[in-house]
Amino acid sequence: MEVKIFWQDNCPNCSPAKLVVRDVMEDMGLKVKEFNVNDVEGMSEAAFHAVMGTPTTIVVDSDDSEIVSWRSQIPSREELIDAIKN
Amino acid sequence: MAVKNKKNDVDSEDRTLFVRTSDDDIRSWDKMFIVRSLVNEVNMPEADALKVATEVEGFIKYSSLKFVSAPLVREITNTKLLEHGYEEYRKKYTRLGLPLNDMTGLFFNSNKENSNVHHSSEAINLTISGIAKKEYALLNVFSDDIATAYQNGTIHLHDLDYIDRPYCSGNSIEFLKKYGLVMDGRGNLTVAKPAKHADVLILHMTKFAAALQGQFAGAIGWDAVNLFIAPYLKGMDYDRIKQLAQMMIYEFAQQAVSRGGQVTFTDTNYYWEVPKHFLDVPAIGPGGKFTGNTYSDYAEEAQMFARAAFEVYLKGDAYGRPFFFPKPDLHITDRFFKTDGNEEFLDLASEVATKMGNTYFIFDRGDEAKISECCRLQFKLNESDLLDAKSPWKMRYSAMQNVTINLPRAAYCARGDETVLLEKIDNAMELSAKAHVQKKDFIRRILALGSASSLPILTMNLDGEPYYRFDKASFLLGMLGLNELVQYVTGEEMHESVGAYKFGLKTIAYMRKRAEELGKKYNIHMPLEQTPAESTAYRMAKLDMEHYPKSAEKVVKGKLGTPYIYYTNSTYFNIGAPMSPMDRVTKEGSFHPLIDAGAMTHVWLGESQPEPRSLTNFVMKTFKNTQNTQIAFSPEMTLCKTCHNKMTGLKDKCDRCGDIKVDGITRCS
Repeated sequence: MEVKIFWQDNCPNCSPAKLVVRDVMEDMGLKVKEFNVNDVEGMSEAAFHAVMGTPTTIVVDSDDSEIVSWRSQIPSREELIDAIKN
Repeated sequence: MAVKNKKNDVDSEDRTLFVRTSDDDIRSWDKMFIVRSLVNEVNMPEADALKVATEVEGFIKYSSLKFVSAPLVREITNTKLLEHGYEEYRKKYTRLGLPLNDMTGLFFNSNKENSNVHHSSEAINLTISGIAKKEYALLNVFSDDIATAYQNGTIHLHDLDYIDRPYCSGNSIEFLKKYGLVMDGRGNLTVAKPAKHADVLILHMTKFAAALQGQFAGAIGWDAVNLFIAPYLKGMDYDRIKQLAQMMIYEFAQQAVSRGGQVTFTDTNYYWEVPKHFLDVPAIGPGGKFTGNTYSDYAEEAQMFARAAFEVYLKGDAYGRPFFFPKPDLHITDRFFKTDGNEEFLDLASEVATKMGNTYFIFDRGDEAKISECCRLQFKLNESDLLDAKSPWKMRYSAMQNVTINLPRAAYCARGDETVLLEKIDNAMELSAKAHVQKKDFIRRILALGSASSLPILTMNLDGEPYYRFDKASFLLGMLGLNELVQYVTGEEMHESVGAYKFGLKTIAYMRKRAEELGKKYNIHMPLEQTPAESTAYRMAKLDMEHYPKSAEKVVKGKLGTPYIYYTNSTYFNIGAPMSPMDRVTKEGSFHPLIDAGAMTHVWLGESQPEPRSLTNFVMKTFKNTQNTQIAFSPEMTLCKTCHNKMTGLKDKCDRCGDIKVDGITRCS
């Protein structure tokens, strides 16, 4: 399982979203992958996951398939923990 | 001038050499003609020119010719220039054209280069002019590095045979409604005032499209056709409107009079709802006068015309064959699904798609607005374009040129090294950007001649600016064979693993990023576009099999050892990959947000003819669940030339009369 967050500059909700995701991941001892959708890596990863807006947080399984996502919104701490645990 | 012929020991005083000149005259020999032409055409110093001309004369003295032609004199002169190491002069002094044998071939063999050009005398004219213009482009428009990159297959410069025209265009009927029809752009031919009746407006549109095809290399697109015709339809019953829709489609489809005797390549854009950016725009009606209403007041008439047009497409021509042009591009938007009658209309468009294959479904999600044309080209409307919507006759857009990069070649040259691969792609992109700048400069020089130029419609100025809005032009960057690049580097095709698929996405994301950077560097708008690569796919595969056979044979598609080899088009997945249609639309669609100037997925139906409702559901799912920007369904069918029976699938003979004179119809790109 892996958590990916997609962000970009001049996105007011991106920093708060990153803080929530980083905080939860740190508490759970997991790593988060952060992608700036305006660089090559982020752009291609966003296309793969059909990310249309930022911030987007996606929890994926080992096959890189989406388990749950928060698109163009900030996930709540509880939702994120719940999704990862279940 | 008299020339002594030593070879035959004939006294030159008794024997005069004549030259058949290029301007249909026969003149006696005078070497000063050569001197003057060398000085005037290539700026050679007169003393050097005299030396070369004297040698040419000496050579001819030893021949036994009574007549020499101007082309032969030029050939001999070019040989002498090369002997003296004057390569640059030789290049500028060269003659363009084609060998006699090739000309004979044109008369007795069909043109297979372009699927839209059918063999005819006009098509031969087109081919001959195309050959000369292509040679000119490679010699005199583009620099040597670009000409070489084209000729060795690193890049493909599209439509070199139309080097003196921009690539393609998006147009507005509003221009014709407001200003009438000035067919030649100069007003020397008969000029028509703005149409007062719907049928006249349709004729203005079809005639102007044919004229525009003489000024552009590619497609002529028309935005919001059903909406802009609508003010002329007020008060008409449905039968009359359907008659007009039928007239428009037949006029476009049968007008095989434009360049090369081909049908004008036209796109017609349809909206079921009134697009948001036209809602409050004052409508232009009969006589070019504002009606006092806005376009939101003509939704009903616009829908009637759209429905009528798709019913005509469904019926096909007199033999039940599909109309190949004009292409109907149906825009699917969020508001489409909120507009009454959308379900019934989408079913009709889907029925046309499953039975005839005409419908192109264009997906404009969110606030996105586009004009579609050509095989898949789309002009995304930015904020300033949407401001133009307030004066829609100004909504004229164009792509100046299309250059395609041979992606598998980059992989071969990089020998699989990913860092070197990006450098190779970079090099090809930089060459493409330079090629765009050179074409831009060439067209700018032509347009600077104003109404005296060879593009008088484009320089016509009726609304305060030239018809061709030069500063709005895009410069397209296409790609070919992404699937083979990925296969060469990763060992897997894009449908075979997530890693390969992601490598493809990363490559295109890189190209997009670099295209933006290069666009800024060269001051051009250079978006990515999927290439309409019906012949490029073969050309590049063939060249790579010649020059990189050990690498190319690992990935090239088709039958090795035969001429029938190709690369997979643009960012497509292997056409034979075992993927469900939805999987293909989803995965191919994931590339589409990276490709701003147009992308699409063909869903091949082959012999199957799904129920319209299942296609409707497919279209709705594609809109809601994928990033795909355009899809078309491609049924295959066979038509009997003898009894005109139409059969689904590709057949060798008619299943009704048994005749083997049949035409198979399928989409090729």
